[in-house]
Amino acid sequence: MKAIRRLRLREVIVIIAMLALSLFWLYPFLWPVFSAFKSSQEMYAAGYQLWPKEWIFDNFVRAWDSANFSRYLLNSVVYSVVSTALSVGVSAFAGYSLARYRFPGHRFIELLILAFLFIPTATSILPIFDLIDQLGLLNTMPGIILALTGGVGFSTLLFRGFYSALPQELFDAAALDGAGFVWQFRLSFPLVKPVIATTAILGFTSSWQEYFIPLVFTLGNPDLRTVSVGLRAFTQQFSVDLSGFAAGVTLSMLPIIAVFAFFQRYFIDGLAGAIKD
Amino acid sequence: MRRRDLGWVYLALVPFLILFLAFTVWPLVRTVQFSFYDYDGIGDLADASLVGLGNFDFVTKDAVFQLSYANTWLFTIGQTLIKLPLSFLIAVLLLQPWLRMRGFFRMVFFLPWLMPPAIVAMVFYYLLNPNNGAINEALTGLHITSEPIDFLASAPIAFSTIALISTWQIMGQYVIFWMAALQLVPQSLYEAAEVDGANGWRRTWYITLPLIRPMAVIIASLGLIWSFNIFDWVQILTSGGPGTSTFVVNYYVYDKAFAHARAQFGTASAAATLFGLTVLVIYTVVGRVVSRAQAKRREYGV
Repeated sequence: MKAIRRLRLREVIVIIAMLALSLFWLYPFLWPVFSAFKSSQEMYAAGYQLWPKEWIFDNFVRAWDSANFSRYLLNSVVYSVVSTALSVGVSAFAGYSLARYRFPGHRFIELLILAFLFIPTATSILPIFDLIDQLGLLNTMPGIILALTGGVGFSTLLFRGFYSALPQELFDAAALDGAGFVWQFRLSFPLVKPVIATTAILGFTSSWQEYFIPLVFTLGNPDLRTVSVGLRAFTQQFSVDLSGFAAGVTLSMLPIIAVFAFFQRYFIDGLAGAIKD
Repeated sequence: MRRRDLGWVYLALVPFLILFLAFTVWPLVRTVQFSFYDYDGIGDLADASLVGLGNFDFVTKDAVFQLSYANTWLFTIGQTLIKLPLSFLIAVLLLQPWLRMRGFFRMVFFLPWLMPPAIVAMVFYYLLNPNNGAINEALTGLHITSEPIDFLASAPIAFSTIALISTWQIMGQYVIFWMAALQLVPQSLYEAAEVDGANGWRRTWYITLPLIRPMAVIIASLGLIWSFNIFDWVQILTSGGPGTSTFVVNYYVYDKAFAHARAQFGTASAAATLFGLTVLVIYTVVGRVVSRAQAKRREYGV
């Protein structure tokens, strides 16, 4: 740790400039939060003032009860949690197998994953829609979860890369002691926590933020909407209830901020991990 | 490897292969297949009439598709040119030893990333509203402009607006990418340069940039490919309008497949195939550059 020295003038100017930028940066984030406590009348007359003249709480009640946000929020949480668990589990096993074992078809599978790594959603969404329909899962929760989970190629590559980078002597020693596939996998579990964090966070945020898939897959059943799609439908009603909307946005931030607060370190490391491989 | 293990390996790969084949490989094959039919997405594909390259012919001559394609490129390049330098600058500043309130600044720039782009787009829709939106109220109230500005009035201004606000949402992610790259540069190099009298800009230009180039290539290419998939912003902020002036390829696909009385899966699939091919070309070119850069990274030992 360096001793704190006095700041140079130039450095003070930079810090002040960054503070000013931060205020601008925070404004769109704070706007829905403060607006959620304003009355509808104040909302329309408020201009750019953030601070409510009078703090009102029934916007939240309205959004939660009548606009169905409790349902949408629960849907979003369920979709993100289940699809993340599914993709982490599936890709951990696949990545481990690809990194640790050589078997017929090994090279082919790896090439296949690489070739199909960046297929845009638009390119595959129609057949996925068709496939979910054929499986009889259209307008059901499992259908949406499967569509959101997708092909898990990227996370499998992350696991594969991480397992290859572990010291292989560790596994060899375990094998000498008679540990097979399953025991070696369990043994390595504490070592792969960082990559589990990376894939879980990337998976969670990408399904939490996804809009195209839930939009298309809930066209036939509004009860299955995610928060984003539900809010969008809400804003398209004839007379928009702006403070109710703000309350809905604020509520929608709570789960992800809670997750972020608990796993802050993993978020930063996890994101950084995505480009290091 | 023991024979018993081989059984486990295949067993461990089965769930992955099912998901990967069903949701990545098969859809691509089917999209190409759909694109040869006049298919409405209902019923059997076999009952639809085969039109050969008809859909491709239609799409490539369709002025709306041409515009969507050009808009997608324009947005991608524009947004990348804003978000990469800005996030790099912020990352460099956040790593300065003299910076105070580091945690606060990092949180400020990271928070928007926690909101889904779709919700950010809705919030900005109200903030930018020419009638009583907060941004226009501030601009006119503080006498910066005399008239409220319609930020979504036409394609150029709408895409500039979307590029800026999507940068607002995504920047925290790139700041973290850059910080991870910058932290790989050994501190001793900076100290040596400082002794030699190199100032901050020179240190950035002659030491940082060459050393992080391999990571920079990866960050830039991810940024390019990700912004190519723009959909949410357009769907929510402009719905492709005014008219069709702000259509992008994803929106064109969505429009053809889900927004008309008779779904045109065939046309949509032809557009999606062309789009996928474009991404494939970018990905191949970028892949070359990345692997060359990674070889260099190993050379440098960072």
